[in-house]
Amino acid sequence: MSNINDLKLTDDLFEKLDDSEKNAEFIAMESKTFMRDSWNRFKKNKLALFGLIFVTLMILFAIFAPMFSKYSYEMQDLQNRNALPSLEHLFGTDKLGRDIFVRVMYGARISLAIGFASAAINMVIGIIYGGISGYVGGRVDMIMMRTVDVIYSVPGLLYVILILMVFGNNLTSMLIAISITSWVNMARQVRTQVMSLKETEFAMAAKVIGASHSRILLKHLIINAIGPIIVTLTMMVPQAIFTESFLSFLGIGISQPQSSWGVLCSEARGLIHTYPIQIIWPVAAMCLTILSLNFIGDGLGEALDPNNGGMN
Amino acid sequence: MALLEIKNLTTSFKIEQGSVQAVRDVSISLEQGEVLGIVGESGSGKSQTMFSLMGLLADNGKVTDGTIIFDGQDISPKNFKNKHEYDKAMRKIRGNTMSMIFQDPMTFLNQVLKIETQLIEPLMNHKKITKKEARLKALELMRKVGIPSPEKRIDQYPFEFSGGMRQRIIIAIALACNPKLIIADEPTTALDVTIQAQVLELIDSLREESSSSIIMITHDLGVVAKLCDRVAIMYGGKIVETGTDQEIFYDPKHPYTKGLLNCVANPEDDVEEELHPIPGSPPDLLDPPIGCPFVDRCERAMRICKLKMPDVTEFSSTHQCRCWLNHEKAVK
Amino acid sequence: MFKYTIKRILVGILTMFILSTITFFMMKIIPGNPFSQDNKVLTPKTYEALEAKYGLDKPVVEQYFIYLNNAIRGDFGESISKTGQQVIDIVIRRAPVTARLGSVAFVIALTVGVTLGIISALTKKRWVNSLITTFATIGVSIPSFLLAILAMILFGVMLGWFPLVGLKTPLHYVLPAIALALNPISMITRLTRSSLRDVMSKDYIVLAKSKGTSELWVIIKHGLKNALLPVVTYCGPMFAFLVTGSFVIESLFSVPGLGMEFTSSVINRDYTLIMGLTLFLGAIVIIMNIVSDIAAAMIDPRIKLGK
Repeated sequence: MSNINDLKLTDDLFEKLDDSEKNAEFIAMESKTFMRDSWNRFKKNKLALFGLIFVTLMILFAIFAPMFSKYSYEMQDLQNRNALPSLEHLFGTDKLGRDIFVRVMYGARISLAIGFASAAINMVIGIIYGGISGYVGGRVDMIMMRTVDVIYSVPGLLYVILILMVFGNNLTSMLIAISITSWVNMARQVRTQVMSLKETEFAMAAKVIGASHSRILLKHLIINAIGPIIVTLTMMVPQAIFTESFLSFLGIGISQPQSSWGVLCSEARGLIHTYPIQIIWPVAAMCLTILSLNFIGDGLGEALDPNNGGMN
Repeated sequence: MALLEIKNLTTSFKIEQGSVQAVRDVSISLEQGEVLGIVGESGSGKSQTMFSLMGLLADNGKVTDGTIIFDGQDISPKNFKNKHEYDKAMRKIRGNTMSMIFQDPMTFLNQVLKIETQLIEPLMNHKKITKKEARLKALELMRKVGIPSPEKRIDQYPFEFSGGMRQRIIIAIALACNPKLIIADEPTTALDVTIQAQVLELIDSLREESSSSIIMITHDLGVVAKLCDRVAIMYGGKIVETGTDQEIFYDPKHPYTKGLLNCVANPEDDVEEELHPIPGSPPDLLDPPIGCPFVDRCERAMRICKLKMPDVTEFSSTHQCRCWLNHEKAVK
Repeated sequence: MFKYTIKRILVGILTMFILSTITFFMMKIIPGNPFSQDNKVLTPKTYEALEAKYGLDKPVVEQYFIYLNNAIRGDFGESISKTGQQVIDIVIRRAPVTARLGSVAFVIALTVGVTLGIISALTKKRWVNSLITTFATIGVSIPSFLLAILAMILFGVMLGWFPLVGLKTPLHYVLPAIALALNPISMITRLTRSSLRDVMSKDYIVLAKSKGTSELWVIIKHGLKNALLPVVTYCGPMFAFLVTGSFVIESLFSVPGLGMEFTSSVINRDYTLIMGLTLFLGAIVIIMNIVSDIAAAMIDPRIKLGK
């Protein structure tokens, strides 16, 4: 069992080892702050990074492209209808000779606005509802969660359509409709988080110190549950964009002259046999944006999961 | 000839940061009918040694070196052309001539399958019998491990059993084919103290009535004292001392073994005597020390301990230890 | 199990009641009614006659109870835009078309989704796994109607392999069924993959292997039954998805089913038809949710035996 060894077993090797020469505790890795750590993990995920860049570019284009273009989104050029892409019209023109590039960017404004705005409204409703339900617990929680179950078991789209019929086909009612129906997931998510955090030591400690109830709820619980909330939020944006475009495409969502991506798809649909390229632009813009947002959500989900770092 | 002969077994796990050397150069031999205890704290490699033996390592684990001879057959993974051949050979052994009792009765039984299904499986795998015969045999096994009214219980699901009863089921599964070797991986750790005693009692009685050899993995020296003929102490993926239970308890040679014994409350001793936990934590096996793994926690560590792993010193034909303190040059 | 079933059914009935109440009052708040005064063709007299015919002259609460009473018996009244046709008759005529398309999509989604999920969970080949997960990510992310449009352009217009209108032959089913099933396929693939992976790392799998059971049997007997539980539970929401998905897929491919009928009823503001369809579709989704929950409970003995 003994190996050939070059080591001479001299006497000094058998001297007692001083405590300072032992590595009593080894430090496995340098400690970093959570956010920094998360960002580093997020950066490593190439798809998520691509998503972030794409969405940022899309937002910038949506804001600035219509401003600087020489065409407006409704300017018609009947001499130049159904033109193919060229330097003059990057994406070509539609059946009324309107510049498709400008229209797609203008559509991005509306679609993205709906996506982000309804996600924001959702977050507020969801956090308040889920927070109360999880924090108060008991009977209140049971009733609130049963209500959520009932809402959840009917497809949200049916409610959205009913609401749209009541308030008319415009941007505001679309926002209201999507927000009213889609906070359920957020509420559930927040509730679970709050419930589990409520039992942790620091929440107990805060209570013992005598911090007021709402302060405990907001400062300690919500801030610590921020990871899953951000992820749910990111996933909500594409969901809202999807719902809006779905309805607008069917002709029961936003109507002219406001034109979201869904409206553009719907307009170009009639020309699918003759000029299929016209529908490709809004479809591609929407696909890439929704995909990017999902990549960001997945990336954030991995990056913000505290269990994901460290040794494993 | 020994029933089991493990020589220089080395097992490592690939993880993101590199490769964890969980088992390093471990040799064990076991006679027919013998009970061997393997003792060590968690992460010392005792369970992974057994998983290597059974061929049940997780996907990222691999036996990189060493030979295993069981029941006259070479079952070292390197002895087979490929993983498929190895698995095929091991399937004939697992649950048949070599079986395992697992740690946690709550997680090792399948919640959605009836006890019958889980209990007759090894019988159906290895014996040429009908389902009906297997059921009868299963009932007999349940009686043997002390489960009351087995005719009723056999058609129930695991969640209808208490922890101790589930552990009895797991033991019955291991006993099904009358194995030559039973490996018990901390079979009482997850149980309540009162139930622990009952389960140990059961294993003890089974040992007496069968000729099976048992390898008992534990970190509880009390279990060893009760059941084992021989003990191997593991630390940092290596076996640091082996001996009969008498030799280990009354004449420990390795500072780690002494430390372990100090951790156990001995009711016969003076009440005034304090327990002495060993300070520090086990070595990082991702980057294992070249010298003795225990050096950083050893009170009597010497310069040489950091540089080289000590050779085996034989005190008797059964008692062996790996420690530089046994070297002639060491200060006694 | 019995108690569980009863509870689920009661909750289902409650949900149905709430849905019908919401639907009714929504329809009542809508400004004006189908025969609004700005419609100059109607004289005041015919207007009153029409209101009386549809019961719109009675107090709202009374209307509500009449409506509930009728709805329970399956009587949703007469369609407003298609005069002379009972809503229930329209539903009965259109439902089989949607059911056929939906069940083809359902079967495709389950078989393809579960298969892909199992493959990607168990394969040792990295590229197979990343291929399937990429496909599933795209399938989950991109709305079905966009994929349908892309498929129409590629396979219908450019390649001309498949017909684009109606459901006359089996070939007609290919594009709409796949377009409808794509999102559920991806969902099921992801679900199966993650739950099977999770299950295969469980302790009871190690115990099963320690009995000398072959790898394949361990997967089939010990793995799949546990792993498919979330998939079975997902079948309920999947039905909801297929129902709403049919709105756009049917109108894209001109399939004369409930979805297309629903879209056109909304555009035509045919209130009785909208109410009837909403309740009918809602009921289907709620029933399917109950069925899938009960099916999941049957697999899991802990719920089945009432614990």
